[in-house]
Amino acid sequence: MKYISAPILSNTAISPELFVMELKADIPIKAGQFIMIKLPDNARILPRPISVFNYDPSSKTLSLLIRKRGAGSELLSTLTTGSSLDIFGGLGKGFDSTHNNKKIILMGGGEGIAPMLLCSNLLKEHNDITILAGFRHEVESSCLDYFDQDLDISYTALDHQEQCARGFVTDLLDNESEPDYIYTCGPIPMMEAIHRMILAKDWNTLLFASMESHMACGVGACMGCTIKNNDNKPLRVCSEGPVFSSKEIFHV
Amino acid sequence: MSRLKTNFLNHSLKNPLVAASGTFGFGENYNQFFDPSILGGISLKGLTPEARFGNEGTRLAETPSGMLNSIGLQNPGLEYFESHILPSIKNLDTIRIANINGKTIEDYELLASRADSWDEIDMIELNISCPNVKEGGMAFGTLPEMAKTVTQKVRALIKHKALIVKLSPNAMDIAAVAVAVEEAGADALSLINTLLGMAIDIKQKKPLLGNVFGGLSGPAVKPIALRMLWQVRQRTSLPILAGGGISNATDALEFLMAGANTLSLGTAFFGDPLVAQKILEGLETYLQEENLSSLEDIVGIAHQN
Repeated sequence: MKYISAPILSNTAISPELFVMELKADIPIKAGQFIMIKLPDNARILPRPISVFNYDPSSKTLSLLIRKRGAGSELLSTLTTGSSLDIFGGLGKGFDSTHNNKKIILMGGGEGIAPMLLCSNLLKEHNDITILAGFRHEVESSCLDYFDQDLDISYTALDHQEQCARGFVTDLLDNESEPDYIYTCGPIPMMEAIHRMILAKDWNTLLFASMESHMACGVGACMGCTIKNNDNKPLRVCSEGPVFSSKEIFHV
Repeated sequence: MSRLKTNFLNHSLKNPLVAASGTFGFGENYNQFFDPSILGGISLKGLTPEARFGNEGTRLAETPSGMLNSIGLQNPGLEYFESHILPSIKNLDTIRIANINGKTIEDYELLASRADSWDEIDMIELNISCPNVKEGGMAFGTLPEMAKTVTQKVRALIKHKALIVKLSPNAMDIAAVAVAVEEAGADALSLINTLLGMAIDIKQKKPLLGNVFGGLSGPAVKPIALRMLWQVRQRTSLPILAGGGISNATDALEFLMAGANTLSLGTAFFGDPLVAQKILEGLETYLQEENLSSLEDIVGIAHQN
C-alpha cells in the first residue's frame, strides 16, 4: 500500500455543513472501510480518516460524504475539480456485504449515513434493504438522493417540517419488523439506543456498528483511536474496527 | 546503501534510522507498506509489567506542524509480550530494542532483568521520560538524581545487552540528566521524548485531550530537539540515538551533524508510511554529492565547524 494521487472529479456542497467529494482512485475498497487523506497543507501533518460513501470499481470513482467539523474538513470542502489529493486505503474491517436473502436495515445518524450507500449498493440485489436515516437539519437529507430511489428509504430530522417525521432515527425502527441484520453508523448514543431496542423487542437481529475516533496513523501503530470492549479490553478502531458487533462494544 | 551502515553499541545497523517507540507498534503495523527490516532498528512499543489500556478520552490532537498524544503507554503487558510478541519479532532482520517503563523502580528492575534474557531483543531502552503516565515515567527523568538512581538499579541487572536511556525534554537541564545517566552506567542516550503540551476544544470549552496534557511531537519540536542534542553532545561522548520531528533527509543530516549517531523516526510515519525510504534515498544522494564514504564522517561535524 502507498499514497496514490487521486484527482478530484467533483466537490459539491449539499448543505451548509455537508459536502460530497468524488475522487478518481484505483484502490481496493470494501463496504464500511475508510481511507486516509493527506491534507494539502504541510503544517497539518496528520492524514484524515474519512469513511467511504461509495466506490464504483468500473469507473474507479470514490465518493466521500464529509461534514465540516474542523480545519481539516473545512480545507477539504474548499478544494475544486482539477486538483488532486494523496490518499491511501481502504483500511479497517468494514461491514459484511456478502449476505443473501436477508432483511437488512441500514441506519445512519447525520454523516453516519455515509457507509450505508456502498453497503446498500452491494447488498440490494440479493437482500431486502431498508434505509433509515436521521438528521439534525432536514436540509441534510439531500444526501439520500445518492441512494437507489427504488429502495425503501425513510428519514427523520429534528427540524422536519412535518410533525410525523420530526424526531430521531430510532423512532423509525419501531415501525419495522425484525430484520436479520442492522448496520449502523452515527452518534454513539444513537447506536446504543438501537442496541437496547433490539434487546427490548427480543429480536435475534445482529447489530453491527461503525465507530469513529481520532487517528494519527490509521494502521494500528499509534494507539490513538483505542476504545474499550465490554470487558474493558482495548480495541483499535482503525484495525479491529471501525465496524464492531454491538455485543462486543455496547453495554446492556 | 552500504555507505549508510552505522555502528551503534557493537551492532552493525543497515542505516541510522530507528523507528521510535510508540510509533511503530511491535514492528508489524506497516508491513503492508514496506518491509520493516529495511530500518536500522525498531524501538518497540513501550512495555510495562501489567497490561495497560492507556488514557481515557481523546488521545490525539493535531497542532501546527505537530501533534499531541496522550496514549498513556497502552500495551499488552509483560506476560503477553513474552508469549506472543517475542516470537512474532524473531525473524525481523533489524535491531530490536525493548522499551521498558515503570511506575516504580521495582517495575523497571523487573522488566530489565527479564529483557536481559530475551534472545529476540538486541538492546534495552529505559524510558524515564513518558509524559503521559501519572506515576513514574517522566518523574524519573526530569531530575538528575532520580535518573541516576533508576539507571544504576537497572544497570546492575543488565549484563548481556546495551542499555540506552531515553531522556525527557521536560527536564530543567537535559544535559545534566545526560551526565547523571552516564555516570550511572548507561551505554547510550536516546532523546528526545515528547514535550508536554495541551490544547483546548473551544466548542466544548474544555481540554481537548482526555488526559488534559499530552506530548508534543512532529516538525514543531525539531529545533528544540536539535538544540538539546547539541547541548547533550557537548557534555558526553556516549553514543546518542536522537530525533524529534525528523521528517526528511535534511532533518536527518542536521541531527547527525549535531552529534547523533543514530536517528529516531516517529511521528513522520503517521503522515507518510514510506518516509523512511525517502530519507534513506536522500541520505544516499547527499553522500554521493558530497563524495563521502560514510555517514559516520559527518556525525558531530557541526561542533567542529
